[in-house]
Formats: sequence, structure tokens, C-alpha cells
Amino acid sequence: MTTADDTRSMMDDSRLAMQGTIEALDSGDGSEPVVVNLGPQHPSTHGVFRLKVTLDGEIVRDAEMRIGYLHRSMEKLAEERTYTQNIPFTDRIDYLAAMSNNLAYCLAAEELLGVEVPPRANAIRVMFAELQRVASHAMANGTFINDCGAWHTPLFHMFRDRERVLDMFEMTCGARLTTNYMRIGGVAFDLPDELLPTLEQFLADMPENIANYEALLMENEILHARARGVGVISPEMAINSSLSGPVLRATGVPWDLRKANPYSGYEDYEFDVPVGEQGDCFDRFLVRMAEVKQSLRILRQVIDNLPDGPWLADVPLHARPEPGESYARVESPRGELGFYLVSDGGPAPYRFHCRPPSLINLSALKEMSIGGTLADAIVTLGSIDIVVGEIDR
Amino acid sequence: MTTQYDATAAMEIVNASAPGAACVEDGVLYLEPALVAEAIESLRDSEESDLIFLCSLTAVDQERHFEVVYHLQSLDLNHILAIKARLTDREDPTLPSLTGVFHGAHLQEREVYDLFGITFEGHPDLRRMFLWEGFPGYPLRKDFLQMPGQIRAGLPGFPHESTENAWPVPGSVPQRPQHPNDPQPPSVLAVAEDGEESS
Amino acid sequence: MSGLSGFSSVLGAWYDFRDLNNLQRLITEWIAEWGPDWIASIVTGVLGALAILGVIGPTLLILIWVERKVIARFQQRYGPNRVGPKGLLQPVADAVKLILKEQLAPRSADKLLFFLPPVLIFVPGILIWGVLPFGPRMSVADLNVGVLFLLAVSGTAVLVLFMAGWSSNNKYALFGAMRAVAMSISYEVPMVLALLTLVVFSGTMSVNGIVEWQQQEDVIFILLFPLSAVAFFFAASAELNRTPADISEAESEIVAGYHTEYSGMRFGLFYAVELGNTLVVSGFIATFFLGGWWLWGLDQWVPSWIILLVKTGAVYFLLIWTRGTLPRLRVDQLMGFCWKALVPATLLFVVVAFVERTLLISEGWDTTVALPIMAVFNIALTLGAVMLFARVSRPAALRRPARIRMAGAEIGGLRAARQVASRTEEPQFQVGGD
Repeated sequence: MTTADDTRSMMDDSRLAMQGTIEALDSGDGSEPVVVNLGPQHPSTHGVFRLKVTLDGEIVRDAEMRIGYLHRSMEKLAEERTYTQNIPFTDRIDYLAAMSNNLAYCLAAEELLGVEVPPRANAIRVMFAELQRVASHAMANGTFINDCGAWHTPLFHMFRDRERVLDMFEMTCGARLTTNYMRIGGVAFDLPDELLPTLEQFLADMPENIANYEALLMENEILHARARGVGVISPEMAINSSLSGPVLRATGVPWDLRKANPYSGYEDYEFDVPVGEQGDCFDRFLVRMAEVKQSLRILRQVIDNLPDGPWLADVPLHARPEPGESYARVESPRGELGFYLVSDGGPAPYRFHCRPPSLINLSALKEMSIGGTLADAIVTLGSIDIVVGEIDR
Repeated sequence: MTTQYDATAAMEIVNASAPGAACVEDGVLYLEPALVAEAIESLRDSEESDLIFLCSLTAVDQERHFEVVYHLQSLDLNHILAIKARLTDREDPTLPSLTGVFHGAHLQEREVYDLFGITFEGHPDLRRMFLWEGFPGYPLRKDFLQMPGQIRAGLPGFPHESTENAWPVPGSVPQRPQHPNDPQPPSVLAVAEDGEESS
Repeated sequence: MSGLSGFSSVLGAWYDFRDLNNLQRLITEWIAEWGPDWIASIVTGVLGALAILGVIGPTLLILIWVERKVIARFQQRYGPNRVGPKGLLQPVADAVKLILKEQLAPRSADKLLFFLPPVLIFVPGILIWGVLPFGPRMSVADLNVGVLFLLAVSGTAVLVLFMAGWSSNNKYALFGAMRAVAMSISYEVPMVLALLTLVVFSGTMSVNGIVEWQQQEDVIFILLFPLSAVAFFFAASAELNRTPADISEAESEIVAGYHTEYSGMRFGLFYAVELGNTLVVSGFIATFFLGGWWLWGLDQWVPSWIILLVKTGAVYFLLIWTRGTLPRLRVDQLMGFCWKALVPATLLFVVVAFVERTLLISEGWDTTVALPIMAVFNIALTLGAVMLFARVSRPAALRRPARIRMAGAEIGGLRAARQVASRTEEPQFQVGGD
């Protein structure tokens, strides 16, 4: 267990090491560190994210992130909208995993309102949350390989899978990215007839696609050289830094909210939680690749056991929950996505807080980057898989 | 399934190491603001509570006071505990920083500082995060950009419910951050200058 | 000379399209009848330059299309298919767009130095074509120190890149320029050593001489010195800033490297020269290691420049292929690979070439017997060197396989992590390692 002193000394060490180097540079041959602003407009920051790195040659001596370029004050805006009106906001928090965000918010609101969700709605929710995970991991892994310097080839191949998932979203709810599909008490629409055959075909095709990616990437020596031993973080430090999702699991900590705190009937499905060993960028990549396979496994079970019945509980559109609070979280593709809602009995949440995994996973970015090269910092950032909409909200 | 950790048990653990730091009201653990860091450190290091994972750190403006809410999770024992601390000083709310206990508190405390104006003493890098230094006010406070007629942010009621719940001044809507009618529009230049910063 | 030679004797030598140099020779002879020598030199020089420019321009436009199309196929896309038939006019549309775009220069840039590089970069890019033999007599300047000229000219490009990076007053550009300089200087060494192997072995520094040696001995150099060929290929792809060695314009790190600040046609010029260099380097790889315009007698039947073009295309496709497949190496890894692997290995093969040459010349070994033996020996030596390097140089982090374990019931924190890690059965998934 990490004690406070350990944490402090870890932080002090890195700070001292940094100061020592910069002083040595200053006193030496007259050279001085270079500060480079990576972003806010930069090909590898995945949005308007700015990483201010202090470089000694190619070595990163300090990394500081500057964010807020996409701040849309959602938490404030949500206080002026009803519980149902807030669902579209959650799409735009993490626009690469809108379904997961819908789900987390609806769970929090349902806890506040005391709503029971019908079984068919739960199964549909799991189906779309897992499809979203496949799509989001395809994006994450593709851009990660791009950050390692590939010329878009794996990205485009993985986008093909994501495209099919988005087609299924469009089929079901009319939107591809900002789905606004889940409702308090269930989902907005029942599944269309053509969805299940499409999904079956998707599940049939995916194993071959994944085998192709693995053939291309798994034993790629350059990818190994770039990602292994880079951006390493220990399990103790990862827990202490509140990291979650694939970043935490890559360090070997088997923490998955779908298992630890099953929601929407995840306890009924069989799946494993892949964990890494080294906690480096390559392990994060491998964990995501393995999670896609597990998601396909869950999807198979959802299709086979899809219950009939209503898909939306009878919840008034203008709901006024009792005063109180709720904190509900889901395992989004990026980690623990939580919504903390406080009600004062009014029609709108008194306080609407999103626990953004993208932001909190960046807690240890500085520790992961210092001492590596500029290229390593980019790879590390890519392996954390941030979505700037979620960081800034 | 994650269980709720018993607040009374947590209170005993906290009070054993920092006497008088914790009390339980309505099943919720409240901490003495000045002793928050020690109290949470004892909860983290105790074998029984084992709350080693800081899920979420946020604040709520309860009008009379601020409430800082911590959600702590034990991974191995799989229980969660919500902890609150009340800050009654609205002018200069301060709280000891949790950064020495949880490295993950860094960014979340900065966010709370940015949007609520709560100062975390001992935070190594307490600057505004989403907004720029010099932004007027703290947006998530309920009195941010208060209108004449004491209109506060939030939705008073559904329009169909009662006319009393409608906005008292016809045609006036609460000014939101970055509203064009804002008397002190946030300077776009401040962002631009910051963005071009170099050394 | 059989087959077509009868045909050409009827139509006159100058009309023999197998060797367009005949035309030039005819003009020279005609001028020599009435004018002084220097006019002939100037006229042939101008003609050669015009020929090169006339070939490069349209070729580049087609190449852009080819590269985009091929990369698109690797990526399961269609590629350009809107402008013109099969999208063939897309590069023209791009060029028009680039020409019409405003030429921006940063306010703090050094104006003169910022203006010059897109122009200057053309000089080595064009000069280098001069020594490429398209046929037995078909090169603009068949210098007897052609290899030296090639290396010297390609070395000057780095100055221009540094000029561009420095004058932009942009940190990305500066980083790109520094990386370009460091990499060019490093990779010049294995490049020189790889070519030195050929020079030592064939005993000539003329590019055409090396092709003729291959023709004479009936062997291509990639069979004799495979490691030099691979080293030259990799070093050339590094000099060309192509993946996996495109660190000086690494998009994901330093945006566009030294040409970050260039817009419009200034960028277009950099891009065009880069493509042209890729083509000419493919041509030189084909010339040095694949026999150039010669192909076991087929060059008697097919115009030699078509043979060269096909070989060049094959090498060029290989370059596109590596670009579409591989991620990028890091700066230190790239430098380390150059100095720790390529330089010693190519140096070893210079010595090998020296010894084998001595055996051929001084000891008078019969080439028809000795060359196959040497080829087998050298291939074995290459494989051995590569395997030795792979074993010795692998970083410790890569020695262990990366493992993914599956946690089913164990869910939790550090305690569960230890449980999962201490499980004795085989990990579910494992990649890499020795």
C-alpha cells in the first residue's frame, strides 16, 4: 500500500530530478531547456488539448497540461434543464462513447427517482454499451498506432469496424455519434427488425478482422520498441492516482465495474477481465484488444438471451425526484465514468457532476512522461485514450 | 456488488487517529474541514476500511455553505463511502488539500477550485483549469452572475406547473456564462495570448 | 545484337528508341561539323536538363496519384477517384490549389532564408538525376566519379532543410531540422559504406560502370551483397524521411517538421522534391543492386529505360509498402540502429568485398565459379549478422513477452492483482519476447 510519504517522496523525487537537470543545464554550456506547446492544435492531442513540455534535447523534463479549450460549462447548464433534457448533454461529454455516458447518467437519475428498468431495456443497454466499447476501442487503438507513427493503415482498418457499429446506432436511434438513445427507465426505441441480422453478421466478421489486426500489430518489432517500457506506471501509483479503465488494468489490477458493481444485468453474462503486467503503453493496447474480444462475447450472450417485453418503464417526463443524491458509475471504454446528482426536489438537478475518466486518467501523465523522449510522451498520451470533450465538459 | 461502507465504523476509525474529526448525520460521514486530509489518510491506511481509491471529488453549493464530497472506494473489499465536509465561509472557503494522500486529487481539486472557488491549502499547483486566471467569479456557485430580482441559476419549475414558477421579469432569462449580454464578457484575447505563450 | 538491330539499321541509329542518347549524339556530331566544341557541350547540357525536367514533371504528377492510390488500397479505401478518369487529374487539381493558395510567412521568420529553401531544395533534387543511367549510354553525365557525385549532391540537401527549419522560427520546424541534420549525417555513413562495397568490388566509381560490371559478370549485386542492399535501402528511406524513419517530419510528434510553416506552393515544392527524390533513389537502388537497365539480355529486346522503370517501380512499391505498414522508430532508436548496426555491418562487408576482390584479381579465381560461392557465403554472413544483431541489441524491455491474463472471479485491488499474477497456469495471451 502506498503511504502518503511514499506519494510525497515519489513526487519530490521527480521534481528534484527535474530541477537538478535544469540547473545543471543552466550552469553548464549555456544551453537551456526548450518549452514546446504541443497543442491546442496538434495532430496527436486528439482535440484541443495542450501539453506544455519542457525539453532537454529530445528528453522531456517537465510536462504540464493546459485544458479548457472545449469547456462548455455542461455542469452549470444541466442545472437549468430537467432530468430528461440533460441526456443529450451526456452524449457530448464523451462523444466517442455516447452510449456509455447515456447509460451512466440514466443509472444515476434512476437511482434518484427509484425507477425499475425492464429486463429488455437492460439487455439493450448492455448491447449498446458493449457495441460502443468495440467502437471506442477501435478508435483508441487505431489512433494509438498512429501516434506511434504508423501511416493511418491500422486506423483505417479499425475504423471499418467502428463504421459498422455506428451504422447500427443509426439504424436504431437515427444518430451515429451523439446518440441520445437511453432514457430514464429504459431506452427510447425498441430494436429495429434489421438490427439483429446486422449484428449477427458483425459478430461473424469480427474474429477474422481481429485476427488480421493481431497479425499486423502484435509481433511488430517497431511497435514493441516504441510502446514497451514506455509510460510505465506501477499498480500502487495507478490506484493512488485514481486511474481507471484499461490504464489501471494494464498495471495488473483487475478492477472492472462491470464485475465489481454489476449494473444493467452484467452479472448475468460471462466474460473475463483482461489485465496486463507491466503497466506500459503496449499493455494498455493489448488490454484494449482483449477487451474487444470480451465485448463480442457479451454481445453474443445478449443476442441469445434477449428478453421480450417493454423497453421503457413508465417514468413521467416531468419527474421531480425526492431531495437526495446519487452516485452511479459505469465502466465506460475509458474507465470509471460516474455521475453524481444532487436533487433538491426541483425539476432540474441541483448539482450535476460527471466524474470524467479521461481527465482523471491524466493525473499521472506527468509522472509517465518525465524522463522519456518527446515521442514517448506522445505515445503515452495516445495510450491513455483521452477525449477532450470529456476532459473539459 | 459494491456495498456502502458503514459511516459509523468509518467515524470510529477517523476519530481514533484524529479525535473529533468526524461525525455522522443521517448516515453520512461529515468531516471537520481542517482535519480532512488526516481523516481520509487514516481511512485509506486502515485495514478495515481500506479506502485506497479516490473515485470522485467534487463540491456542491448548498447556498449557506459549500459541501465538498469525496467518494472513496475499497478495491479489495469492494465497498464505497461518501464523505462530506461543510465549509461555512462563503467568502474564502478553504480546505486542506488531499494531494498528499491521493495523487489523483490533483486535477479534481483544481477543478473544484476553478468552478467553486474553494482553496485547497497545500495543493502544489492550484490554478484555474478550465477558465483562465482572472475570470470573474466561480461559475458553479449558485450566485454566479446573479440577476436583479434575486433570480438564481437553476430551473424553478416546469412551465406548465404554475405561473409563480415562471421568471418574474417577462423576457428576462438568466445570463449564462458567455452570454452575449454579459456585462463583463470573458475576454477572448486572454485565451489567445495564453495560447501563443512561448519561452 | 540481334533481332531489333536489323530493324534499327533500316531506320537509322538515332531512331532506335532503345537508347534516346543516340539522338543527342547525332546533334553533337552535327554541331561539331560547323561549330566549336563548347557550343556542343552547352547544347547537349541544355538538352539533357530539359529532358530530365520534362520527364520529372509529369512523372511526379503520376507518382502522387500512384502513391495515394496504393496507400488507399492498403487502407481499404478507394483513394482519389473524382477528378478525371480514375482520379488521375487529382494531382493536377492539388497543384492548382496549392499555386492559388496564399503564401504565408511567419512574421518572425528570417524572410530571405525562409524564401530560399523551397527553391534551393530543387537543385540537388534535379542534379542527382544527372548520373542515373537509363541505358548503356543514356545518362546526362556519365561521370567517372558518379557515385561520389551522387553522395555529394544528396548530402547538400540537408543544408537546405536546416535552413528551412531554422528560418521558420518555429519550434516544431527547428526540431524537425535538427532531427533531419542528425539523421542525414548519421545515415550518410552506412550509405557510403554500402556503396563503397560495390565500388571496391567492381573497381569503378562510375554508376554506369557498376551496371556494366553486373552485366559483364551476369550477376546482380543484391545477390552478392544483400546486406549492403538492405542497408542502402533503409538508409535511403531514412534520408527520404519515409516511415519507419520519418522522424524529421513525424506528424504525430512535430506536426510537419521543417516545413511546418510553409504553405501553398512552397509546401508543394518540398512535397514534389521529396517524391522526386523517392523516385530517383528507387532508381539508384535498382541501378546499384538490381542491375539497372540490364536484365539478362532482355535489354536487347526491350528499351533499357523501360527495364529500369519497371525495377524502379518495384523498389518504389516496396517503399510505399513499408510506409503503409510500419510505425515510426524513435529518434534514439533510429540513431542507435544506424551507428550500432548498420555502420559495423556495412563496414564488415567492405572488408569482405576487399578480400573477395583480391581473391578474384590477385589470385585469379575464375569468376563463374567464385561468384556463386561468394554469393552463398555473403548471404549466409548476412543472415548470421542480422540474427546476431537481433539477439544482442534487443532492449531488455523487449526480451520478456508481454502477457495478458484473464481475471474472472478475482476482482479488486492490489490483493486481487497479486492473486492474478501468481496464478500458475499459462497466461491466456502472450506476445513478443525472445
